[in-house]
Amino acid sequence: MFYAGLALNGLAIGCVAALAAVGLLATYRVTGVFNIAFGAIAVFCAYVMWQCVRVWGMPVGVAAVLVLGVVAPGIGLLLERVVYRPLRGSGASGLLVATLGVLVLHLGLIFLLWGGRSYVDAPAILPAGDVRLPGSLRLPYSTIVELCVVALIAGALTFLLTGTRVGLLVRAVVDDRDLAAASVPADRLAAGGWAFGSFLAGLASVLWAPIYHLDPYSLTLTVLETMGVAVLARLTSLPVAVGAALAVGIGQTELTALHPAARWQGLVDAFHTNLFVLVLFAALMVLPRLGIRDSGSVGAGLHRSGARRTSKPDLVQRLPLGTFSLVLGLPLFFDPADLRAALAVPALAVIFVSLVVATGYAGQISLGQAGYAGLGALFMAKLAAGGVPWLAALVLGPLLVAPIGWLTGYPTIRRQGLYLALTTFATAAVVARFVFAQPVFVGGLTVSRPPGFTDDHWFYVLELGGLGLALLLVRALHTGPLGRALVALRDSEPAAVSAGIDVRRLKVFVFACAAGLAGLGGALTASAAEAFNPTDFDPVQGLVWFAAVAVWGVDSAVGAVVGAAALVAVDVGTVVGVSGLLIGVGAVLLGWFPGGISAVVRRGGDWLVASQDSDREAGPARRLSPAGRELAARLRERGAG
Amino acid sequence: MTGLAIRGLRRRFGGVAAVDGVDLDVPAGAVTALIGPNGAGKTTLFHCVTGLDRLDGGTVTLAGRDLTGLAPHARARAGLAWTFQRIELFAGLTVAENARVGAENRRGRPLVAGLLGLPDPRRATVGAAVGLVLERLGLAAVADVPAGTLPTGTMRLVELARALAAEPTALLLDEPASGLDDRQIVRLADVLRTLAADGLAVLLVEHDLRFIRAVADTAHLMIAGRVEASGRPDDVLATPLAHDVYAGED
Amino acid sequence: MPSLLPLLTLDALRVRYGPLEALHGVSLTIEPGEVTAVVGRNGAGKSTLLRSVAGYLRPSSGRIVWQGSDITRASIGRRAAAGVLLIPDEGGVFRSLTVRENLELFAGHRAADLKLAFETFPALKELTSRRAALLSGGEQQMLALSRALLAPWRLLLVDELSQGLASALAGRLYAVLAELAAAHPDRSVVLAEPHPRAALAAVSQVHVLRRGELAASGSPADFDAATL
Repeated sequence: MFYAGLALNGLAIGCVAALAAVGLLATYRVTGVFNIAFGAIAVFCAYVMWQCVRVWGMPVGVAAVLVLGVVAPGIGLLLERVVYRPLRGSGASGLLVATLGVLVLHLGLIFLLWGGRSYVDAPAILPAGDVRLPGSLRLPYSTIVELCVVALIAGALTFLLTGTRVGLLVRAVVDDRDLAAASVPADRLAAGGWAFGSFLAGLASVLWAPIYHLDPYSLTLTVLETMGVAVLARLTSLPVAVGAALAVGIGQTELTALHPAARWQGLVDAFHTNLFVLVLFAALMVLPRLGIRDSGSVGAGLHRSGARRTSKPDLVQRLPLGTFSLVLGLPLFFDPADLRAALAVPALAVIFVSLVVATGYAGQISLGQAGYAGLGALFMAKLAAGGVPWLAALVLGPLLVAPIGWLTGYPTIRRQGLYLALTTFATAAVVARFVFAQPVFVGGLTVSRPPGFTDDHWFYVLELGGLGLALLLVRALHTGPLGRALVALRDSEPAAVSAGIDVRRLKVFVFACAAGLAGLGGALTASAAEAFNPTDFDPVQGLVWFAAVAVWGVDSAVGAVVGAAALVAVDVGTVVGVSGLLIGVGAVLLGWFPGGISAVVRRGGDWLVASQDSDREAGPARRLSPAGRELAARLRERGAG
Repeated sequence: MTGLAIRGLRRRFGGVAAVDGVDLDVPAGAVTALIGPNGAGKTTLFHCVTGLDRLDGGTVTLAGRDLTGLAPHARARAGLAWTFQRIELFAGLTVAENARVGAENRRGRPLVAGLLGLPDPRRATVGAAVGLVLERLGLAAVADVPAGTLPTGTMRLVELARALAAEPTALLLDEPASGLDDRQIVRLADVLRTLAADGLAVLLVEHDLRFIRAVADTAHLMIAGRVEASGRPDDVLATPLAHDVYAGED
Repeated sequence: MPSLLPLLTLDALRVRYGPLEALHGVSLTIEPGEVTAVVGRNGAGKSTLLRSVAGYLRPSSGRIVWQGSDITRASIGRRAAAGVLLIPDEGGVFRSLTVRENLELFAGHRAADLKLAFETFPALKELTSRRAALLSGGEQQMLALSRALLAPWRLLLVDELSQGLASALAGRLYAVLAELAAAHPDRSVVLAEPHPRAALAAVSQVHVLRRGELAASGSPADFDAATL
């Protein structure tokens, strides 16, 4: 069954997606960065446009010229200079965190400047009418213009990149900027690429304005969802991306004509509203690989560089644990309102620690911790509803998430960097849309705290217990043969393989542990609130969390705990948007301080220790690991005997 | 059959046969060298044997056991050890820990046991193996130094220690002498001779002809994906083919 | 009479990676027309030295002077325009581009004349439409070195020329570079070599780096190749 009228509606949706996909791909082809902040930049431009027309009373045309000619390219130039130029040469992960930072930063700015308010009167630049087709069908002008723009960009860019010398230069700069700098004006070309990429975001915002309400999240999410189309095109082929976007758009509206038995209607509805998310998920699961520079060590750019990375505890980990737990215990003496706010800290800290485990230890960028956290909460509530005592459910629910982490991690873990990151995000998005948003699963769900811990004080103590458990797990992953194997993996994967380490199994195992931990954090979050709020586990939330952990340092569990406390404190103590702004600024500047805040602290600590050591004795201090002590003892015995 | 046996190995990239039906025996108790010009397929062959690259035809057996379908780490556990052309070691771990990683992953252990901190029953054997290897390679003095801070020559030895700590039956070395000074090359040759005498099957890919003359029992000359000449190193290097490749050397 | 100014002067150059200092104040001079070898073990600071001269790394202190003008803070592009050309030990090719596209980029606007590269490395002729990422290590090295033949330069910095090359070919290349330098009295070549045996025949000046410091300088005759 095919309905022409629906198909035309679908074409309009497909055009929006095609524009987003072309924007993503074009930016990727001319800058080498998969700019997942494309949507956020577009939304920011749309808000600026609204401000110019509705508040300052500019004519729409003037405002459009201002946005397209000055604001959008300006953002691109600024980003190139401040964010991406220092990051050149760092791997896919470093760039990914930076783009996440740009996304969070723009959202934060929108919240700060416009209070995150939604507007229905976004200025439209295109005429509102439509063309009549035979059979009383109508095709809106805006769709026609968008189709033309998409075709024009795709055609012109393909020609430029493959058929001209400038295209060759651009490709050279994208490939290796330092190498290119010696023979071409690389900085100018890169700046030009970024200005063009942001210009496309601005263009998208102007074209989209009449179709969408102006609101911070919807367009950002739309672009994130259309990543599936870009992935289908393997980040290389513009025509494939355009075709796929139009096809999915039309398929989406055609699905609305499907009316199965009532009990399945909800599922069909979920399908047609979320077809792009499904395409993203399916494309990532099925396609063998992206046409993308995806190799290189995974955590590269996130870990602190140059410093020793042994399995031995270093300064921050040798901080007296007593002091640490004392600080965490402080909220017990806060007044009730503050204590209630502080309840979010240990739960969030557990989730952050799970990110440290996944990214810092297994080297897997996970943008999907929100999904696992939500599942932990959901499983706990379901178990409790099935008669399991709440305290047992609090432990068992998260344990059930670990196998799900295993299942989702297994097919993708061999693919690294961006690929895995997108897959984890897609997983979280699918879970959010098909589970957390479905009344079948979450309707009538009640959450309460375990008996004996209903009081805020006691519940906070329980949460600290959960955090302690998480830190114990981190310790186990840090010491002994398992810890050694993980450090080995991080230092050199080929060498780890040659030593007989089953890299895939080890990574998936740690990834599953991280999923379980996130589940525990989610279960604690829901228990603290005594309700299951799907918004707590929104996929975009997962992006913010990841950026926050990256800022504090992906290989520092202590940094993650402090980071969680700081995030909650900023959110409680200031207006909405400030925390996003801070995380965003931190993440985009990560190129300037690799390894994050904890690395800076550690470097300072190392410097202190080094200067003390050199006071005490000449020559480097020798601190032996357990294995080293054993060996030294053996050698001494031999020497004596 | 002890040692490593390669039969009919093929690997194509696009239309080009990088390795074109190679038969090669690496017997236990001897050092076998693989020589040839750049692009002859030596490194590809090496990768096909270790499993880092897939092969389009042929078999690889170690002491009678077929390794062909196994993943690289499984080949390592089956007794194959190798080092890399560009030094790959665990820069953040100490020399002793590097060897230890080699020794303790020889057999799989449930990961959950490690997570729960259960004691490893093989701890003592692992410790002994590590001590022995470090002493043999003269690394005992630097056992507790982070491997990343050592000079190149010593790093090569650390790689070797990691490989040997797993107590392999066959050892593959990709240009082990590059980056070493003359004294270190002599020492490496010495170590390899002793290892072979103890019954290890050793395969070298190497450019340094003096090193090959000093250490190898057999040499195979590889050109354009095929083995064109085999025999004692001096005999192989005396062939006209080898003369073309190595013109002007020595 | 060529100018008396040295081509390049390094004055107490220090370079650090995060907390680790890789060069602890190196001072040396490169005269026009010389072929210089910088020798030392891996990790001695050879690559760091070459990379900071070419502008890939920013020194933490010290000065780099090019024909009397300070270029310590100049960008890679400005130094390249002045004639500094680095061929790094890895990543010397554009991996996603074909061999021909690489060569065209190296040749700049004189794109027509790729003959020189094909004459020196006949192996590349067969591979023009293959992507550089698919080349073997030795072939990539040949492609990277083609740049020295195609691009204009006054100071050529080559990091580990013999990397991955059969020694016969490496030996021939040293001779080619020495010829190139000799043909123009204002050109100089700096070779960074971990095992300089083959290179010594081609050079006129040797600097020995040890643990980030200049340990010795002199002519090749002063050094016994076996002890370097």
